[in-house]
Amino acid sequence: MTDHLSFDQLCDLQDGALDLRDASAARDHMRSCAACAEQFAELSALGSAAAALPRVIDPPADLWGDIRAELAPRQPRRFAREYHWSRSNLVAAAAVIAVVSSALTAVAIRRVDPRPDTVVAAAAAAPEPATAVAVALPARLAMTEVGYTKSVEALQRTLAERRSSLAPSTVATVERSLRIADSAIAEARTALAQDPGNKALVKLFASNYERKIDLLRRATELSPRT
Amino acid sequence: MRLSWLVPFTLIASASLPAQQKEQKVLLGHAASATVSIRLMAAVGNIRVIGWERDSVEMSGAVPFGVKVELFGGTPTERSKGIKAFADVPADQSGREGKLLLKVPRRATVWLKTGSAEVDVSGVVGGLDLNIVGGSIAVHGSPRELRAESMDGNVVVDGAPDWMRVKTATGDITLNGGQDVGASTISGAIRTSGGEVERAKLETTTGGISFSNTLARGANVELETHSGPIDILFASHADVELDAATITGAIDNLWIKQRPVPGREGRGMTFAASSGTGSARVTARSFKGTIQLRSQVPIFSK
Amino acid sequence: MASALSFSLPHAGHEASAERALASRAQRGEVEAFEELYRAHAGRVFALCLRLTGDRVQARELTQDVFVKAWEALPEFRGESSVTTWLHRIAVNAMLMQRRSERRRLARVSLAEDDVDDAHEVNEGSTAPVDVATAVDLERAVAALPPGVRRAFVLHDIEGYSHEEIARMTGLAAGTLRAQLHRARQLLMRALRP
Repeated sequence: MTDHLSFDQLCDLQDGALDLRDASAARDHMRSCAACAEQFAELSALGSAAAALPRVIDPPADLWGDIRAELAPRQPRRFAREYHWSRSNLVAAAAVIAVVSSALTAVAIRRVDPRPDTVVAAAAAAPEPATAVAVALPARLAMTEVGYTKSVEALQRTLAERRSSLAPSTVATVERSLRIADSAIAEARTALAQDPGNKALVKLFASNYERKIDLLRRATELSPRT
Repeated sequence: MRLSWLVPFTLIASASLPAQQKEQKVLLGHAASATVSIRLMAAVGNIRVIGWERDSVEMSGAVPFGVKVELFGGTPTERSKGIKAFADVPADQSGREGKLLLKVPRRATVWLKTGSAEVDVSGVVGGLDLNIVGGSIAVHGSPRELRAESMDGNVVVDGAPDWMRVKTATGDITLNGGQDVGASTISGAIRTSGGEVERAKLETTTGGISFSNTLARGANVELETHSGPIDILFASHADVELDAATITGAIDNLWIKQRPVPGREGRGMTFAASSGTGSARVTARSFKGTIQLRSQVPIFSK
Repeated sequence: MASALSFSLPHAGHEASAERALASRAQRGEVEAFEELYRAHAGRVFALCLRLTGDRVQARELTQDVFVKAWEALPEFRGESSVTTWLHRIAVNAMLMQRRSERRRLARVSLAEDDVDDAHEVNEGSTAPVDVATAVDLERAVAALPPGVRRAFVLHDIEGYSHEEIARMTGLAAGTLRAQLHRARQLLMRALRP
């Protein structure tokens, strides 16, 4: 072999892609060609350095919170195709419920005090509105809410871990806003338990949760000492 | 190419200053492409960003002694496509003092993250992504894209970004202009006006919403609150179809001669009406806040 | 590359069975189990995403997409490959399909300096000792490669996948892959010369 080895040949030699005869010829050539030998040594060094690079690089500490917030709750198989955690499906779910439970709903609503403030006051008095409410939602809405509350819990865990690194005034702002969000969720939830077929209400209920989750997500992304 | 003025591309300010001096001057710069992306993380109390007609980035100002200011842009003699700058504050300082002025090419994209600060941006037509906790954000001009987030800081935008998304927890949001507008807050108020909006989604939990933009043909606007008041001011000859509903709240119509009707099962109210060709669509939803409908030329009043 | 080859092999014994159990629980909807899988694999997935994208912000979003997609795809995961290999396939596919996160965010800054940060965040004991200066230079040079050749280099020379495995992941013809890999090495050698 009188000419220099091509770069492709050197790469193939390194990768074990040359057949035995060509590989042997290439090695023979390098014994008498310093330039090719040097280039092959450089190539080998690059390969070694690449293989020795760290395989693990820590992701940002708050990444799990973001991921958790996007995980749709896993449903039993029979529901898997019908249901997704999104507003449009919430509305659709409510529509189905409306048909199935219209008679029950009518009865329930007739029992409700027609004065709007009655419902509002009862809900506002709940100590932990988003999780400890007395009224029960229809099954599918309840399942949907489980998805939201799991996201909330995961983000709250992340936030709790970071709480001490945040400025007290920021913590106070976040907590105040969360209380407001919880109160709104509780009110919407109470109303929804009584009128599950109300599409506008389903949307408002979902929006309240989504604003709360978004607030939590943003709080977990704040820089330390801010 | 104006490179002669460039100071060293990295300045760690400035250990040589006398300890009794409370502030230190900052002057850093780098040649940049016209569409450079700039990322600034700065814990200082006041940050101004100005778009200028030069292919360079300059950061100047004064910061408390001990604050480490750095700017990275790659090879000093080349126009950078990506610049990163920091103002790192020692643990014993609040991060609410000091001023920085950042001059960037007008078409730059600026990403800014700070704590409690007054942030003022003008003349940038590229992209803006601004993130504060407290203080305020004011944007003048019309960036192509704008994202602004704060916790309790207020956000004011004077201009018409093609696309903007603004979020706060308790801060108020005031948007004068914009085509594709999104604003969300828990207890802050949202006021939008001016410009010709094509798409808007404004939502609060308890804050009020005031919407008085001109509607583009075929515009789609969604306004949603739990308990805040919603005030919609229509232009006198708006071509709009309105769909408003509350769960327990009232609808106060001073817009056209048509009365809202009771909602489902006699609770809350609904109101569906249109004016002109009805090409734009406005949807308003409130749990218990009052929805008020008005016209610039009222033809009906209570 | 011996150290790289071990990467695609299934975990052995107890570790593998514990991982299968976690995957099985996550398949049934246990988010806590999925979180454990995330904790175990996030560092590797993030490292891959960082090198594939050459940008820390994009890497974060790609990693997020990978785990969200993994959650969605878990019911179909049969355990025929290790969880790591499975996640890596999702990462490569996600990058090839153009991430949805690109649509939801402003274009952000790509900066070589991020790689310096990355070097500081490397887990201790995660690999053989490396000359830090060389590693940082190499990371920077890899990040500066054109996307196609970078992908070939990352998957073959850093992650240790075979040509056949990469071809399956990316759909690239063997000749194209070989050309990209050689080109990547050529560019890197040029960039790393003093």
